[in-house]
Amino acid sequence: MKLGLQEKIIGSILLVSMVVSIVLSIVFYNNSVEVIENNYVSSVTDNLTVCAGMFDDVMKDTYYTAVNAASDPDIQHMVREYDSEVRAQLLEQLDSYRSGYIESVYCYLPEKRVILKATPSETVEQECSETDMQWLEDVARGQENPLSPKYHTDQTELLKKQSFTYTKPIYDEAGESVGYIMANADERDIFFGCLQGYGNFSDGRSYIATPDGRVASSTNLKSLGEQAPEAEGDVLITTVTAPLSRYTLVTVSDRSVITGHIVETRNQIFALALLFNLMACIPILILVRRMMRPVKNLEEVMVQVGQGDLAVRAQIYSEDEIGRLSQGFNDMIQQVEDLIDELVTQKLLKKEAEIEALKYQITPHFMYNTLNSIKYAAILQNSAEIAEQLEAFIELLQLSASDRGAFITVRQEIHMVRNYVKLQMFRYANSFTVQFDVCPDIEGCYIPGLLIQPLVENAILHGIDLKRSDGLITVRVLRDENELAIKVEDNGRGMTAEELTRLMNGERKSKFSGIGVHNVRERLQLYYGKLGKLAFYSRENHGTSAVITMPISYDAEEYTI
Amino acid sequence: MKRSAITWLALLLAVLLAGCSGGTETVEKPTICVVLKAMDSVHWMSVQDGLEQAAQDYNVSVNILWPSDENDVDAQNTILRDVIASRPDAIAVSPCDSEQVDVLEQAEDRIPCFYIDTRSEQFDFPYIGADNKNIGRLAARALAQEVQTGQIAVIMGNSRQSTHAERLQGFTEELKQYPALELCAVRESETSSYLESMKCMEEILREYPEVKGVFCTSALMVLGAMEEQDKAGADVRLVGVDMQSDAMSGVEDGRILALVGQNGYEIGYQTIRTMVRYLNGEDIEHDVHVETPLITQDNAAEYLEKYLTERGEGND
Repeated sequence: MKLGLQEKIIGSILLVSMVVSIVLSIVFYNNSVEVIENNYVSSVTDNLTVCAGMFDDVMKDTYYTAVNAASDPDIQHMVREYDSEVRAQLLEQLDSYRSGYIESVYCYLPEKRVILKATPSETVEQECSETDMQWLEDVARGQENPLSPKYHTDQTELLKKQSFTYTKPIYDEAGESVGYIMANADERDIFFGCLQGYGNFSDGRSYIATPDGRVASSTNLKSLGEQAPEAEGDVLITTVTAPLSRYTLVTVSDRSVITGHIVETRNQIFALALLFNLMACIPILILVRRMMRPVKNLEEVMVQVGQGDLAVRAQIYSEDEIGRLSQGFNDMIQQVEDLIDELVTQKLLKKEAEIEALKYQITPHFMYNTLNSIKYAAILQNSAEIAEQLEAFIELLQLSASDRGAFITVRQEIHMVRNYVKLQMFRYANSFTVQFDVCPDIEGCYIPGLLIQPLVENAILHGIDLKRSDGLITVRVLRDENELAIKVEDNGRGMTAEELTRLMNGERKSKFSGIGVHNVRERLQLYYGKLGKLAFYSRENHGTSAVITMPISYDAEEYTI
Repeated sequence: MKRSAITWLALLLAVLLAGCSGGTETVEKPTICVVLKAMDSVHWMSVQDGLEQAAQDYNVSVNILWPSDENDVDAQNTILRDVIASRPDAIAVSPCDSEQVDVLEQAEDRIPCFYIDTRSEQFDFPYIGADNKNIGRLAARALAQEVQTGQIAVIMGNSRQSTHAERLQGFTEELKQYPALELCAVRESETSSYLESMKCMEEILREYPEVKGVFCTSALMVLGAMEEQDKAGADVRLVGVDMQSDAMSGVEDGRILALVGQNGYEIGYQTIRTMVRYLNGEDIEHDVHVETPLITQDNAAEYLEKYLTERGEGND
């Protein structure tokens, strides 16, 4: 998947803002949950503490009842001396200790195998069966912590009911226990008095647990006396232990109920974050578009330049990185354009010069053949001189028409110049002489063809005085280190400054000598740039000298364009 | 680069999510059991108030138990036995009978014990309460100032309680400084009760019509004596002990000469404070005495107001 810079920027912004929203909402959620749970726990704890206080108060009353009844001298006396006569009185006395939450007071006399019961419905003496006895002995043994009541199902009642019981023994004079006072508080009374309405919260279930973890009082009657159930699911358990009785008040609350609306809020924040981010796409898109405009422009310009349009320029919108980039690009295009211009101009100039040279190439074989025929005719008529003239002319033509490339050796050029001179001498009846002075070691150097001939032609036509016979033209080819110097001197009348200027600018006087001095100069510049030079030195009546300086080259291709 | 950034983000989220954890733990507070003599007078209610306030302030749980009345020594011993068996972190006891606290033997080594309000010579436990001998001395001085010469009588609570015995001791010691005053009678009220005090007062007034001043070793008894005096129309200077509003009102309108204040709230509060300090391993003084100011008609209004506002009793 290829994403543009624009998509990447938008994506990054959205990703970051989504992450920020999610992180924020998670932090918010966690903190809120903590605060809410803490508040909830502390309010539940407060409530349970109140319940525990009430429960302890009831247990304290029950305990006092047992203690007081057991230390009641009348009861002590009657228990020690128990017989059927005091039964009614003892029962009445026991009954007087019932008050408030103390539902019943029992007096268990193990030796008599009876239990005296003062209950809300009756005061009765009850015979004890073996199982009753066993159970009562167990109850009478009391608790390890005497301040903590025993929780049990009353075995002596027909209806099974749960009680909290404190037991206190009554001793005889010898210090042996002869009876037990049991003060009982009923589970239902405790439940409605201490738990219901205080311990039950809209979103929690409360129960009282014995110190050994059994359910002592709860809405669920079936669970009474059973081991307290393990918490299931995600629940919050708050416990408060009543300090005196050591019973535990427990509230089990569903976490989802307490923190449900916070979960909702968190999800809302997620949804809102998503929505806002989606909505934010539009302004972000617009902003990014705006920021990306110069880049887009640059991209378009690049494409155009790639297609060859060097005239276009990137628009510069601002001074920022993109602005500098565009500026740099524009500068680069400008440079490329300049370079290309230069190259194209050079190529055109060279083409022009070559075409100019070709114009003067008289090529067809027909011409050579005709001239050869004339040459043989001249030999047959014993006109050796004419034959020689023709020979030179043919060679001259052949050389200038040759297609061996623009560069030829100095030797070839000199040979051609000699032929040309031969013809001109014939034409002007030997009225001048031409001397050649060529260093032998530079005869193999390559120079552009027809370089020296125009200068010699110029010397013949404009330099020497053809009416006199003492005209002398000297052609020198010299070497100076890496430079080649070609010097064509005459001893003619010289040239004026105007004539020299005209000569340089290529104004021609003769039609044959068309290649011309101007062409020589242009070719030098074309091939060698600043290294190739043509200069004229002249003085009235002291002749003219043309000097070419150029780099030495033994390679025909070195300067070929 | 990109991958590592994503990894970091994931880690961050994981850490944040891990912040949620469940469960609440309950710190087990030290349990202190206090066995008082009774809960039948304002003094003991003030003590209970101070105990509960301090328990809240020092974050301990306190179980306060008492027999049905101050003379139920058997019941108090039964309760004490059970309290020891419940193995609290510390026990404070105010013995009904300073000579019958054998049961504390069971606790002596295992559970730190303290005396609150009343001590026993049987075991050498730290004591928090008023300096009772000093209370007696202050009472004697207050009486001597008002009654320069003549007969003085004492109505004391149950002598098996060291408080009353010590107050009497301090009183008689101080009275020797005033040869013009004659201690003619010391009546003991078995139950330290209002009614019994009235009975004692009646006897004293009958047997010693010339009596000028009577020192009662508790507030309840001075109120009883006051009623009996009013009934008989006698003119006897009464001095009592304890700060409680009804007795202070009596001082304020001149029917009682003076009260030696004994701030029950302070006793209760200091008891828990001392026990907590002990449980925390700090050094504690063997006897922690609370202030015992002398309340006379001059300052009764002030004390009464302070007492009512501090206890919130006036608002109930």
